[in-house]
Amino acid sequence: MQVIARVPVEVLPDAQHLAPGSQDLFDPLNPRTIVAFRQGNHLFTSFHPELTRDDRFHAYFVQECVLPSFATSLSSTSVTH
Amino acid sequence: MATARYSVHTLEIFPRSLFITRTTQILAQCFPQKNLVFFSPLQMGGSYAVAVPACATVIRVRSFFHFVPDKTNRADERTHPGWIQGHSHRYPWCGFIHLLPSYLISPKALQGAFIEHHSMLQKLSLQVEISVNLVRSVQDLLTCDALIIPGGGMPFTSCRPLPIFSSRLSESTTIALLAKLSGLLDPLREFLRTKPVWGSCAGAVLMSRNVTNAKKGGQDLLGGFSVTTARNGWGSQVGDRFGFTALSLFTINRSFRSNPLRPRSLYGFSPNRTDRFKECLFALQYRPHLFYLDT
Repeated sequence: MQVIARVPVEVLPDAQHLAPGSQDLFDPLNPRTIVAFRQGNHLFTSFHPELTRDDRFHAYFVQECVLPSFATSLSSTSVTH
Repeated sequence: MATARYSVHTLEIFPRSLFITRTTQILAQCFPQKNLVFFSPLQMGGSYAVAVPACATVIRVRSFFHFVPDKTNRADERTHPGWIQGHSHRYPWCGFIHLLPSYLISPKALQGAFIEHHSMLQKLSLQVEISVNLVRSVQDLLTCDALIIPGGGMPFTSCRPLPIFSSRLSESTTIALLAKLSGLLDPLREFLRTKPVWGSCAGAVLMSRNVTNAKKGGQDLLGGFSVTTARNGWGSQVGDRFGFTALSLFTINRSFRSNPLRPRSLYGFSPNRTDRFKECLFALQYRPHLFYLDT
């Protein structure tokens, strides 16, 4: 599992607005701050990059997740034949 | 020169979806080839009987989030020029309905010199043929090799009412229900086992192994990610200040807007520099989920 993005601490709400027991969100390594990661060929984002003009996650998915998986399956096929 | 053929489809299970999305623009930025050709469903009427040169990069987009222009949205666009209209949390009319648009990427022509061209294309940066379609059925799904399961974005209570679904349903439960009704749950699970899938927001929840704060009786999940997600992990986003804050984390938060890392400065980002994501994360997070990693 490859963590791609976390909530930046500086954009977290003030502590008094956090739910009780959520103070550990300010720990930069808290897994609960993860908002994007990759597991295998799967990409996980908790937010909506498709609603912005930031296309990096789309490019990332196509280039890093989709196309390499096709390359793998194709080369394995060629070995079989 | 022959090109590898991929089709990018879009999954859309929701009934009566109204579409508008930035998929076209985003893909255009992803694949800035000169011979990029766009078919707008508005222009094409949903049909694609167009002759395209074999070397062309074709992106067929059929997933459009609905967008209702009005004064409010135009004002929002003025004040936030980096954002598409109609997605302000303040005006959640947009029932863009969550729909699950998902892009499926399938190699359609694998015979011939595909492998060589593919490896060449890898070096040449994406000379691939792309088409974007909605996938509503198992048959559609079977033709695809990659999938994006987006979430909805807005609390379901904010969307225009749908006749058969309770407004108390959340996005992920709604998606699961619709997938179930369409007979897509098991095909989607099978798809997840073998092919690349991108789950976003509620789609990511759907792909989790477990969900906390789930509705009573649990909800259908697709699995795929070895994580437990917490729906509404930062609290409800409807009407409370915290939800508002969380909602605006990546979007209209003024302090964030004044951040030097504004979206326009992020173009040209190299996907290989994933560390930049941490610095410049910029995206809507309507329904912030927190994640508890199992591993």
